[in-house]
Amino acid sequence: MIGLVLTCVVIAAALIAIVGLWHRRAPAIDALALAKAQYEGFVVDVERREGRGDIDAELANEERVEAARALLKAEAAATPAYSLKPAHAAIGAFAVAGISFALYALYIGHPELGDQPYETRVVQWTDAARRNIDSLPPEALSAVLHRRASEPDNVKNPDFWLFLGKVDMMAGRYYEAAKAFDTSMKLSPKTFTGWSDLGEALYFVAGGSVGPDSQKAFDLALAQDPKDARAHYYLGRRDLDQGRYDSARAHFVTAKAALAVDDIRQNAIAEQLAAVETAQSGEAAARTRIAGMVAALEAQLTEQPDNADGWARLLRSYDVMGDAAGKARVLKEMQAHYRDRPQVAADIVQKSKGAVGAENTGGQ
Amino acid sequence: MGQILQKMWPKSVKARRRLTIFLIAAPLLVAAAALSLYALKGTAIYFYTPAQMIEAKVRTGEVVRLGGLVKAGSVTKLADGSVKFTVMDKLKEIEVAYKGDLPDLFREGQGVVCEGEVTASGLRATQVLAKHDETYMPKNVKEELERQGEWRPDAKPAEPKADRPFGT
Amino acid sequence: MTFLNEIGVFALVCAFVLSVAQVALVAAGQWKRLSGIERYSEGVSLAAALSLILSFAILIAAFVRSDFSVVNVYEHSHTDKPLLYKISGAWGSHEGSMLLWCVIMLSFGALITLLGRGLPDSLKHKALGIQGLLGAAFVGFTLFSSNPLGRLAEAPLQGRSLNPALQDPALAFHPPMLYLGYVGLSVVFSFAVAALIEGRLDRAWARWVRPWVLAAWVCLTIGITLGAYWAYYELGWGGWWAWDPVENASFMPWLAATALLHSAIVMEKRDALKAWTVFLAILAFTFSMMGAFLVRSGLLTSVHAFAVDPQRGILLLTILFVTAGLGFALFALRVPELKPGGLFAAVSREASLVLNNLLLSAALLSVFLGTLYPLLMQALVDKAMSVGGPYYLAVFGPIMLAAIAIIPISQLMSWKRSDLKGVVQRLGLAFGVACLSAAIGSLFYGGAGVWKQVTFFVGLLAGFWLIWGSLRLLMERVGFGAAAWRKFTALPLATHGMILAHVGLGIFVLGAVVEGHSRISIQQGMQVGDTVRLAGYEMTFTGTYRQDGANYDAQGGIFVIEKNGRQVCEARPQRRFYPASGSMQSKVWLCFEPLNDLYVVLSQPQESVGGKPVWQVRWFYNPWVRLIFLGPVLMALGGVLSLFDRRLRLGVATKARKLKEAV
Repeated sequence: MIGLVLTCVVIAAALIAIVGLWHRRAPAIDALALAKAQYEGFVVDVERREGRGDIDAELANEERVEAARALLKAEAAATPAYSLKPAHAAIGAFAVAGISFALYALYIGHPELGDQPYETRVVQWTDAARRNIDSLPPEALSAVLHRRASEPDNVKNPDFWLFLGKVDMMAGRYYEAAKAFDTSMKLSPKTFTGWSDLGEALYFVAGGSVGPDSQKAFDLALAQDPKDARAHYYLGRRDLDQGRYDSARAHFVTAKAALAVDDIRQNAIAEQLAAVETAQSGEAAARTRIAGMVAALEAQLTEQPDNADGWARLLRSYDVMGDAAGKARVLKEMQAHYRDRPQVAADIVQKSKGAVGAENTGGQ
Repeated sequence: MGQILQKMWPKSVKARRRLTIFLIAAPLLVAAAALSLYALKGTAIYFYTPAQMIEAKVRTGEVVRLGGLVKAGSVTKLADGSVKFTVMDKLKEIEVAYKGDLPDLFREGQGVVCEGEVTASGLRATQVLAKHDETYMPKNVKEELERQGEWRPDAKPAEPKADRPFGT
Repeated sequence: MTFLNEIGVFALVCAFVLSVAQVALVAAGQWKRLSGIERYSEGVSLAAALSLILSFAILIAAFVRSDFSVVNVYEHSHTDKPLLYKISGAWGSHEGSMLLWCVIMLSFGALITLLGRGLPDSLKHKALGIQGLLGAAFVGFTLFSSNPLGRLAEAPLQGRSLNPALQDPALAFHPPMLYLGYVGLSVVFSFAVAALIEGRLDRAWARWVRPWVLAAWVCLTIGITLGAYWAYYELGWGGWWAWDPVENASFMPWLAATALLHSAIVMEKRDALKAWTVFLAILAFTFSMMGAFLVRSGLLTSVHAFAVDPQRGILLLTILFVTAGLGFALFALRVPELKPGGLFAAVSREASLVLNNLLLSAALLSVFLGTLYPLLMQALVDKAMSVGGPYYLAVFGPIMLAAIAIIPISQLMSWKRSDLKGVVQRLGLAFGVACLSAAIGSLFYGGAGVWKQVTFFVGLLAGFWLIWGSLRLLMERVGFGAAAWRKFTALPLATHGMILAHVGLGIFVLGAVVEGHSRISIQQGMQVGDTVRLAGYEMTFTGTYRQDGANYDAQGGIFVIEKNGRQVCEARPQRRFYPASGSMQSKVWLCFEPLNDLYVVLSQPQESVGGKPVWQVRWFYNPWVRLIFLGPVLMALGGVLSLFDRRLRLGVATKARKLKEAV
């Protein structure tokens, strides 16, 4: 703090010294001498331009007269250059420095906040990590480890990279984590145990979906350990997203069994199992509802078959339910009805292929 | 008449020249402004959301900008490299055909702005802009979608479904 | 513990207080009893500038040291960023760029003091007062509403990084150049207002102001060109100018400065067009401030715009209205008292420059309307729209065409009274050669449609007419034969500069016309081994590669491009992933065929049948596109040559020397 105040004083003094030095070095130019020099320069210039024919004699004369007038005016107004009294100058200087410091200290500044350059912080984190590695937030630990990744002990050490990857995962640096797991794997492919970690990292890199690369990683994890809870967990989530509820449940149940009862990860699994139940019962309900609607629509069409929109909706419903046989049957019925109007039949088929619910937003 | 003009015409050479310059300059600038406004009418590209576009009954062949959300599941890639997708707001939707490179951040369910010609079936886009970072989504799109309650300001390109890694 | 950042804040406060003191001293000097005290504004201007430079240096240091306890650093930097982009991050944000703006503004104030020893004291001090006023307003705005060194008690663990699209060498230097131009015009503004207060506007004034206008114009030209070049090769859309409102915001001051540059010449040489020149001087800086405002107002959406809350936009708008309003009000008050200057005939170089100014103003008006019309419509009738290329081609194009048409004629005219018939006769040959060149060009790059053919020919003609017309002037002055070289070197630098700048403009026009007319592109999904053809070139996708950069991981494609079976280049475009911001950035590959570019962009790969990924590849053939960037460089070079002309330089230096001898 004292250092800050002293530096501020030094800066203010230096700035004031600059003002003083400039005016000492460059004393006020005698206004009269300047006006004279200008007048002479101007007259020479006018003559040169007149000589070259840029201006005619009339204008040249006019300009000369004007210049002379300006000179006379300057002579009349000439006063000796103003010089501040030292006392006044000192008051001004103190006022500027005082106002600046007051504005800074009372309004803008945070004199209590020191610099926190990144290098210094990494050194502090490294010290803290030596003392107690758990005291560090994962982001800081990740920064420390990345600094040390190029050390000869670490650069070829698969365990180091595996650890780094796990820390990066906790720090939310999924891409770096995936890279670290990958490095560890490449250093020692045979003893690599982090396949499900790699799969998890890739799952996050892809924004929460199991792509071909994470699929491959999970497959290898399961080949290594058929009960790998992490791999089952993510494969279960993928199945849940894709609507394969039974398979999802199987994955979660396996994962649950593989973990100790008091493992905190049980919570996440329980959550997912509940989600599977909700989704499945929801879908079943929807299915019954659709089946009811389809039955009603079909009955309506049997009575009043001249309803192109209805046929299209019915066809699409069978598509959605994945009932190919039913769809084929309805298609046949529809074509039978529109036997003499093939264009209408074709339109209906075309329409039934449109986006599901395209007319829902507009119509209902 | 002539006399009045003569009277009004300034006597001094300099004032006369000033008037001449003014008499040339003023019509020229007025003409430029008029031409600009006329051309603006003809070339300005209006921005619509699907509902506004249907409501405004935009003529076929007109170039417009269409902004809205890409309907989930509507993107189909055709064999010739062109793409078809549906742009929707809360009320209506419009089909867009586009041949070209979709921006990196083009995603289903995300905001998009398409510029192109109105056709009988929808829009033939010549340019497709996706919500880039927060600065790239045209403000008017955002406002219109906000008005309809469709804007999701923090929608990430693909919302990570697992918020935390397993086991932490 | 060190307190560098806080020292930076203190220095910023000092700069603000000193700027206020600078204004106060000049204002006090107008009071009879303290008359003369204003000379101390000189020293104060130096101290204020140094103080602000210190503050800016500390901001850069905070970026280099990745001190995330500074909000600005946290929001726009990352430890993995290469050093250059850490430094350029210092002006990559609204706060940092405002500080840069202020640093330049106060430094120019100091330059008035340092270079202005030959200026009459009263004019110099009034100009320093106005410059101090502008400085105080902008430094105050920065300090109180956008502190670039605002602090966080607990530094975050990592920064949020700079938008990868902005991590580019051209863009690192684009803002400083542009700001040198924008703010250079503030000096012109200050001199204009000072002269209006003084009530004295004469040839000497024009002579003092012209170097500033020239320097600002050169910086603006380079800044805009850098921006266009960045848009061309970083954004990957194949174009270089989109008439985006933010681009227009930088182009409008350029048009105003160009007009000012020419009218200041008339004022200096002939003592005419005084009111008009002063008007332009005020207008040019008003447009600069408007550019700064538009980018920060939140009214526009663009990659270049800063996301800023509207309140700060309103503050900036207030500064704009107050300063510009003061300038124009003073102008309206004082202009009737101005003494009219030299006379000239309807056919003279002055008259042609007046016409040039009118056309430039009309062009400025058209850009202004095109930029503001959508904003106004949005505000007034709530109708969203955009104004794009077709509008500017229809309005701006013809006006500029007319302006270009008169340039070669104007160059050959003599001051005061000229002979149009003679000038036209002297230019006959140049016109013929231009027509011939344009005709040959049309044959080469011919296209479909009569209208297209005609516009293309006219565009080419304009470019060639400028080039040959300017060379004709050079030929007249230099001639052929033994004395040519001696005469060439004896020619004033300003004349060289004028010819070079006009030739540069012609080259730019040629590039823009040919590129705009004949650019072709193809877009295709390609697998390794595929070949596509475009404009006689054949491109084969031979493989992919990976490359890890400092803060990105890139995937690239290798494309061999051949013409007539001979390999012309190997393109290696990339797609870069920046983990820090989690974003993708395409990196264009440019193959330089002498004047033309082969421009390859890689888009995201897609899974495909057979497991081989399909890469979307866009390939542009941009004929003569090099000229678009070469032209403005020559124009800027021309400006620099004029700047070093003895006559301009001596205006300041000899007087000081004479004075020293006199005193």
